[in-house]
Amino acid sequence: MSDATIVADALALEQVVIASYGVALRDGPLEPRLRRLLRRLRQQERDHAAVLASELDTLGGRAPAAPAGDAALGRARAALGLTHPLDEVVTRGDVARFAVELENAQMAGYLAAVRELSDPRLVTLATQIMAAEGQHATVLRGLLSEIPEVVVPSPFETGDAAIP
Amino acid sequence: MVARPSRRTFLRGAAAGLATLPAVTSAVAGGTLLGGCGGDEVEPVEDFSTTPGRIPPGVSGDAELLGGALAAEYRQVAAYLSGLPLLEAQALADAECFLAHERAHVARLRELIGGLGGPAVGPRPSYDFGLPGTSADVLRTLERVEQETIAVYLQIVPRLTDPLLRATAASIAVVEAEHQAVVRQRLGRQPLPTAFVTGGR
Repeated sequence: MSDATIVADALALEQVVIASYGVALRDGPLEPRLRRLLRRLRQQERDHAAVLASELDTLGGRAPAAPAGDAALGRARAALGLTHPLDEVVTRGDVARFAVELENAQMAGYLAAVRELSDPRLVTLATQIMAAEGQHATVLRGLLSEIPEVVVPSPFETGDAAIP
Repeated sequence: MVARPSRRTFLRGAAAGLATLPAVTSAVAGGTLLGGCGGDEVEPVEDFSTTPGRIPPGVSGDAELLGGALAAEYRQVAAYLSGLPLLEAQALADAECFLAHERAHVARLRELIGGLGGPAVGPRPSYDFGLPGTSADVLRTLERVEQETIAVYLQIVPRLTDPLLRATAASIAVVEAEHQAVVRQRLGRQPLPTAFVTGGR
Protein backbone atom coordinates (compact mmCIF):
# COMPACT_ATOMS: atom_id res chain seq x y z
CA MET A 1 0.00 0.00 0.00
CA SER A 2 1.41 3.40 -0.93
CA ASP A 3 1.95 6.19 1.57
CA ALA A 4 -0.70 8.23 -0.24
CA THR A 5 -3.29 5.47 0.20
CA ILE A 6 -2.44 5.07 3.89
CA VAL A 7 -2.74 8.81 4.50
CA ALA A 8 -6.00 8.95 2.53
CA ASP A 9 -7.44 6.12 4.64
CA ALA A 10 -6.42 7.90 7.85
CA LEU A 11 -8.00 11.11 6.59
CA ALA A 12 -11.23 9.31 5.70
CA LEU A 13 -11.46 7.89 9.21
CA GLU A 14 -10.75 11.30 10.76
CA GLN A 15 -13.60 12.72 8.68
CA VAL A 16 -16.01 10.08 9.97
CA VAL A 17 -14.93 10.78 13.52
CA ILE A 18 -15.36 14.53 13.05
CA ALA A 19 -18.82 14.03 11.62
CA SER A 20 -19.76 11.62 14.41
CA TYR A 21 -18.72 14.12 17.06
CA GLY A 22 -20.67 16.74 15.13
CA VAL A 23 -23.88 14.70 15.31
CA ALA A 24 -23.42 14.07 19.02
CA LEU A 25 -22.89 17.79 19.63
CA ARG A 26 -25.88 18.68 17.46
CA ASP A 27 -28.36 16.17 18.81
CA GLY A 28 -27.25 15.22 22.29
CA PRO A 29 -28.64 17.10 25.29
CA LEU A 30 -25.18 17.09 26.81
CA GLU A 31 -24.14 18.61 30.09
CA PRO A 32 -21.74 21.54 29.57
CA ARG A 33 -18.65 19.66 30.70
CA LEU A 34 -19.24 16.85 28.22
CA ARG A 35 -20.06 19.32 25.47
CA ARG A 36 -16.76 21.15 26.08
CA LEU A 37 -14.87 17.86 25.99
CA LEU A 38 -16.45 16.73 22.72
CA ARG A 39 -15.77 20.12 21.16
CA ARG A 40 -12.11 19.87 22.12
CA LEU A 41 -11.88 16.33 20.74
CA ARG A 42 -13.55 17.38 17.49
CA GLN A 43 -11.22 20.35 17.11
CA GLN A 44 -8.16 18.19 17.57
CA GLU A 45 -9.51 15.71 15.01
CA ARG A 46 -10.01 18.62 12.63
CA ASP A 47 -6.38 19.62 13.22
CA HIS A 48 -5.32 16.07 12.36
CA ALA A 49 -7.45 16.07 9.24
CA ALA A 50 -5.98 19.38 8.05
CA VAL A 51 -2.41 18.15 8.37
CA LEU A 52 -3.24 14.82 6.72
CA ALA A 53 -4.95 16.61 3.83
CA SER A 54 -1.87 18.76 3.36
CA GLU A 55 0.41 15.72 3.40
CA LEU A 56 -1.86 13.91 0.97
CA ASP A 57 -1.74 16.87 -1.38
CA THR A 58 2.06 16.84 -1.23
CA LEU A 59 2.03 13.14 -2.09
CA GLY A 60 -0.18 13.85 -5.09
CA GLY A 61 -3.13 11.99 -3.61
CA ARG A 62 -6.73 13.00 -3.68
CA ALA A 63 -8.61 13.75 -0.47
CA PRO A 64 -11.62 11.52 0.16
CA ALA A 65 -14.99 13.20 0.41
CA ALA A 66 -16.28 13.70 3.93
CA PRO A 67 -19.64 12.01 4.68
CA ALA A 68 -22.37 14.35 3.51
CA GLY A 69 -25.44 14.01 5.69
CA ASP A 70 -26.52 11.57 8.35
CA ALA A 71 -27.31 8.74 5.94
CA ALA A 72 -23.84 8.83 4.40
CA LEU A 73 -22.31 9.02 7.86
CA GLY A 74 -24.33 6.00 8.95
CA ARG A 75 -23.09 3.99 5.97
CA ALA A 76 -19.50 5.07 6.54
CA ARG A 77 -19.73 4.16 10.22
CA ALA A 78 -21.17 0.75 9.42
CA ALA A 79 -18.41 0.10 6.90
CA LEU A 80 -15.85 0.86 9.61
CA GLY A 81 -17.56 -1.41 12.13
CA LEU A 82 -18.64 1.46 14.40
CA THR A 83 -21.72 0.24 16.23
CA HIS A 84 -22.57 2.74 18.95
CA PRO A 85 -25.92 4.35 18.06
CA LEU A 86 -25.53 8.02 17.20
CA ASP A 87 -28.86 8.81 18.84
CA GLU A 88 -27.76 7.40 22.19
CA VAL A 89 -25.12 9.90 23.25
CA VAL A 90 -26.61 11.61 26.26
CA THR A 91 -25.17 10.44 29.55
CA ARG A 92 -21.58 10.50 30.66
CA GLY A 93 -21.40 6.73 30.06
CA ASP A 94 -22.92 7.10 26.58
CA VAL A 95 -20.42 9.78 25.63
CA ALA A 96 -17.48 7.78 26.90
CA ARG A 97 -18.45 4.54 25.14
CA PHE A 98 -19.43 6.29 21.90
CA ALA A 99 -16.20 8.26 21.76
CA VAL A 100 -13.84 5.51 22.96
CA GLU A 101 -15.10 3.39 20.07
CA LEU A 102 -14.09 6.17 17.68
CA GLU A 103 -10.71 6.73 19.31
CA ASN A 104 -9.97 2.99 19.40
CA ALA A 105 -10.69 2.70 15.69
CA GLN A 106 -8.31 5.54 14.99
CA MET A 107 -5.55 4.14 17.17
CA ALA A 108 -5.77 0.76 15.45
CA GLY A 109 -5.59 2.53 12.10
CA TYR A 110 -2.58 4.64 13.03
CA LEU A 111 -0.77 1.64 14.48
CA ALA A 112 -1.16 -0.12 11.14
CA ALA A 113 0.04 3.05 9.43
CA VAL A 114 3.17 3.15 11.60
CA ARG A 115 3.98 -0.37 10.41
CA GLU A 116 3.32 0.28 6.75
CA LEU A 117 4.36 3.85 5.96
CA SER A 118 7.69 4.20 4.18
CA ASP A 119 8.40 7.90 4.82
CA PRO A 120 9.91 8.31 8.32
CA ARG A 121 8.43 11.80 8.60
CA LEU A 122 4.95 10.36 8.11
CA VAL A 123 5.71 7.61 10.63
CA THR A 124 6.47 10.33 13.18
CA LEU A 125 3.28 12.18 12.31
CA ALA A 126 1.18 9.01 12.65
CA THR A 127 2.76 8.29 16.05
CA GLN A 128 2.11 11.85 17.25
CA ILE A 129 -1.54 11.65 16.21
CA MET A 130 -2.00 8.17 17.64
CA ALA A 131 -0.62 9.43 20.96
CA ALA A 132 -3.18 12.24 20.92
CA GLU A 133 -5.96 9.72 20.24
CA GLY A 134 -4.64 7.68 23.16
CA GLN A 135 -4.91 10.74 25.39
CA HIS A 136 -8.47 11.27 24.17
CA ALA A 137 -9.37 7.66 25.01
CA THR A 138 -7.75 8.03 28.43
CA VAL A 139 -9.80 11.09 29.35
CA LEU A 140 -12.95 9.39 28.06
CA ARG A 141 -12.31 6.18 30.01
CA GLY A 142 -11.80 8.43 33.01
CA LEU A 143 -15.44 9.46 32.68
CA LEU A 144 -16.39 5.88 33.50
CA SER A 145 -14.02 5.12 36.35
CA GLU A 146 -11.09 6.45 38.34
CA ILE A 147 -9.59 2.99 38.62
CA PRO A 148 -6.22 3.38 36.86
CA GLU A 149 -6.44 -0.06 35.27
CA VAL A 150 -9.63 1.14 33.54
CA VAL A 151 -8.28 4.56 32.59
CA VAL A 152 -5.05 3.14 31.11
CA PRO A 153 -5.87 -0.53 30.65
CA SER A 154 -2.67 -1.89 29.14
CA PRO A 155 1.06 -1.12 28.98
CA PHE A 156 0.76 -1.45 25.19
CA GLU A 157 -1.90 0.60 23.40
CA THR A 158 -3.20 -1.06 20.28
CA GLY A 159 -6.68 0.39 20.10
CA ASP A 160 -8.35 -2.92 20.85
CA ALA A 161 -8.90 -2.65 24.59
CA ALA A 162 -12.41 -3.62 25.63
CA ILE A 163 -14.64 -0.61 26.10
CA PRO A 164 -15.52 -0.55 29.81
CA MET B 1 0.61 -3.59 43.03
CA VAL B 2 3.93 -2.39 44.36
CA ALA B 3 5.06 -2.82 47.92
CA ARG B 4 5.90 0.61 49.23
CA PRO B 5 7.24 2.12 52.35
CA SER B 6 5.14 4.28 54.56
CA ARG B 7 5.66 8.00 54.31
CA ARG B 8 7.08 7.89 57.82
CA THR B 9 9.56 5.18 56.86
CA PHE B 10 10.65 7.17 53.88
CA LEU B 11 11.09 10.37 55.81
CA ARG B 12 13.03 8.66 58.57
CA GLY B 13 15.31 7.14 56.00
CA ALA B 14 15.63 10.45 54.29
CA ALA B 15 16.66 12.12 57.51
CA ALA B 16 19.40 9.56 57.91
CA GLY B 17 20.51 10.30 54.38
CA LEU B 18 19.49 6.92 52.97
CA ALA B 19 16.18 5.15 52.70
CA THR B 20 16.20 1.50 51.75
CA LEU B 21 12.91 0.70 50.11
CA PRO B 22 11.47 -2.56 48.84
CA ALA B 23 12.82 -3.17 45.35
CA VAL B 24 14.44 0.21 45.21
CA THR B 25 17.11 2.23 46.87
CA SER B 26 16.30 5.88 47.19
CA ALA B 27 18.32 8.47 48.92
CA VAL B 28 17.93 12.09 49.75
CA ALA B 29 21.40 13.47 49.62
CA GLY B 30 21.87 17.18 49.98
CA GLY B 31 18.12 17.56 49.58
CA THR B 32 18.09 15.96 46.16
CA LEU B 33 15.90 12.95 45.56
CA LEU B 34 17.83 10.21 43.90
CA GLY B 35 16.17 7.09 42.61
CA GLY B 36 17.73 3.82 41.63
CA CYS B 37 16.09 0.99 39.76
CA GLY B 38 17.25 -1.85 42.02
CA GLY B 39 15.98 -5.37 41.71
CA ASP B 40 17.58 -5.96 38.32
CA GLU B 41 20.39 -8.41 37.99
CA VAL B 42 21.94 -6.61 35.05
CA GLU B 43 25.28 -4.96 35.62
CA PRO B 44 24.81 -1.20 35.45
CA VAL B 45 26.03 0.02 32.08
CA GLU B 46 26.41 3.64 31.19
CA ASP B 47 23.74 4.43 28.66
CA PHE B 48 24.31 6.94 25.88
CA SER B 49 21.30 9.13 26.61
CA THR B 50 23.22 11.70 28.61
CA THR B 51 20.54 14.27 27.87
CA PRO B 52 17.10 13.05 28.96
CA GLY B 53 14.69 12.94 26.04
CA ARG B 54 17.38 12.98 23.38
CA ILE B 55 18.72 10.19 21.19
CA PRO B 56 21.99 11.22 19.50
CA PRO B 57 21.79 11.33 15.68
CA GLY B 58 24.59 8.77 15.37
CA VAL B 59 22.63 6.04 17.10
CA SER B 60 21.47 3.52 14.55
CA GLY B 61 20.46 -0.09 14.27
CA ASP B 62 17.30 -1.44 15.80
CA ALA B 63 18.98 -2.95 18.88
CA GLU B 64 20.85 0.25 19.70
CA LEU B 65 17.73 2.35 19.18
CA LEU B 66 15.70 0.09 21.46
CA GLY B 67 18.53 0.41 23.97
CA GLY B 68 17.82 4.13 24.03
CA ALA B 69 14.18 3.39 24.80
CA LEU B 70 15.21 0.95 27.51
CA ALA B 71 17.40 3.59 29.16
CA ALA B 72 14.44 5.98 29.22
CA GLU B 73 12.21 3.29 30.70
CA TYR B 74 14.68 2.57 33.50
CA ARG B 75 14.66 6.27 34.28
CA GLN B 76 10.87 6.21 34.46
CA VAL B 77 10.86 3.23 36.79
CA ALA B 78 13.25 5.10 39.07
CA ALA B 79 11.11 8.24 38.91
CA TYR B 80 7.94 6.41 39.91
CA LEU B 81 9.66 4.39 42.64
CA SER B 82 11.26 7.51 44.07
CA GLY B 83 7.99 9.41 44.00
CA LEU B 84 5.68 6.81 45.57
CA PRO B 85 6.39 7.75 49.20
CA LEU B 86 5.13 11.29 48.65
CA LEU B 87 1.96 10.31 46.82
CA GLU B 88 -1.40 9.50 48.36
CA ALA B 89 -4.88 8.35 47.41
CA GLN B 90 -5.71 8.50 43.68
CA ALA B 91 -2.32 9.80 42.61
CA LEU B 92 -0.66 6.91 44.42
CA ALA B 93 -2.98 4.35 42.79
CA ASP B 94 -2.21 5.87 39.39
CA ALA B 95 1.53 5.81 40.01
CA GLU B 96 1.51 2.18 41.14
CA CYS B 97 -0.36 1.18 37.99
CA PHE B 98 1.89 3.21 35.73
CA LEU B 99 5.01 1.83 37.42
CA ALA B 100 3.78 -1.66 36.54
CA HIS B 101 3.40 -0.49 32.93
CA GLU B 102 6.95 0.89 32.86
CA ARG B 103 8.26 -2.40 34.20
CA ALA B 104 6.33 -4.24 31.47
CA HIS B 105 7.99 -1.94 28.92
CA VAL B 106 11.42 -2.74 30.38
CA ALA B 107 10.72 -6.47 30.16
CA ARG B 108 9.47 -6.26 26.58
CA LEU B 109 12.35 -4.09 25.41
CA ARG B 110 14.92 -6.36 27.02
CA GLU B 111 13.28 -9.32 25.31
CA LEU B 112 13.33 -7.57 21.93
CA ILE B 113 16.93 -6.42 22.29
CA GLY B 114 17.95 -9.93 23.31
CA GLY B 115 16.17 -11.30 20.25
CA LEU B 116 18.23 -8.97 18.09
CA GLY B 117 21.43 -10.19 19.72
CA GLY B 118 22.08 -6.84 21.33
CA PRO B 119 23.33 -6.18 24.85
CA ALA B 120 20.61 -4.93 27.20
CA VAL B 121 21.56 -1.68 28.86
CA GLY B 122 21.26 -1.81 32.63
CA PRO B 123 19.90 0.94 34.82
CA ARG B 124 22.16 3.64 36.12
CA PRO B 125 23.15 3.46 39.77
CA SER B 126 21.07 6.55 40.48
CA TYR B 127 18.96 9.23 38.83
CA ASP B 128 18.62 12.84 39.91
CA PHE B 129 15.04 14.08 39.98
CA GLY B 130 15.63 17.35 41.77
CA LEU B 131 14.04 18.46 45.01
CA PRO B 132 10.49 17.12 45.37
CA GLY B 133 8.95 18.04 48.69
CA THR B 134 5.27 17.58 47.97
CA SER B 135 3.05 15.30 45.95
CA ALA B 136 2.65 18.11 43.42
CA ASP B 137 6.44 18.26 43.04
CA VAL B 138 6.48 14.52 42.36
CA LEU B 139 3.67 14.80 39.82
CA ARG B 140 5.49 17.61 38.01
CA THR B 141 8.61 15.44 37.88
CA LEU B 142 6.61 12.49 36.57
CA GLU B 143 4.94 14.66 33.93
CA ARG B 144 8.37 15.87 32.78
CA VAL B 145 9.85 12.38 32.71
CA GLU B 146 6.87 11.05 30.74
CA GLN B 147 7.30 13.91 28.28
CA GLU B 148 11.00 13.18 27.86
CA THR B 149 10.25 9.51 27.28
CA ILE B 150 7.67 10.36 24.64
CA ALA B 151 10.34 12.48 22.95
CA VAL B 152 12.71 9.50 22.97
CA TYR B 153 10.15 7.26 21.30
CA LEU B 154 9.30 9.89 18.70
CA GLN B 155 12.96 9.92 17.71
CA ILE B 156 13.25 6.14 17.73
CA VAL B 157 10.06 4.98 16.00
CA PRO B 158 10.78 6.45 12.54
CA ARG B 159 14.38 5.16 12.63
CA LEU B 160 13.50 1.52 13.39
CA THR B 161 13.74 -0.62 10.28
CA ASP B 162 11.54 -3.52 11.43
CA PRO B 163 7.85 -2.61 11.03
CA LEU B 164 6.82 -4.76 13.99
CA LEU B 165 9.37 -3.06 16.23
CA ARG B 166 8.08 0.31 15.05
CA ALA B 167 4.57 -0.72 16.04
CA THR B 168 5.67 -1.97 19.45
CA ALA B 169 7.60 1.21 20.16
CA ALA B 170 4.66 3.33 19.00
CA SER B 171 2.24 1.39 21.21
CA ILE B 172 4.50 2.13 24.18
CA ALA B 173 4.83 5.80 23.23
CA VAL B 174 1.06 6.14 23.22
CA VAL B 175 0.82 4.66 26.70
CA GLU B 176 3.39 7.18 27.95
CA ALA B 177 1.17 9.89 26.47
CA GLU B 178 -1.81 8.39 28.27
CA HIS B 179 0.13 8.43 31.54
CA GLN B 180 1.05 12.04 30.89
CA ALA B 181 -2.62 12.98 30.39
CA VAL B 182 -3.58 11.43 33.74
CA VAL B 183 -0.69 13.09 35.56
CA ARG B 184 -1.65 16.43 34.06
CA GLN B 185 -5.22 15.92 35.31
CA ARG B 186 -3.95 15.22 38.83
CA LEU B 187 -2.04 18.50 38.62
CA GLY B 188 -5.22 20.32 37.62
CA ARG B 189 -3.89 20.97 34.11
CA GLN B 190 -5.59 20.45 30.78
CA PRO B 191 -4.93 16.78 29.91
CA LEU B 192 -5.36 17.35 26.17
CA PRO B 193 -3.34 20.49 25.47
CA THR B 194 -2.44 19.80 21.84
CA ALA B 195 -3.66 17.80 18.85
CA PHE B 196 -0.16 16.43 18.24
CA VAL B 197 1.83 14.82 21.04
CA THR B 198 5.40 15.83 20.36
CA GLY B 199 7.15 15.21 23.66
CA GLY B 200 7.90 18.91 23.76
CA ARG B 201 10.07 18.82 20.68
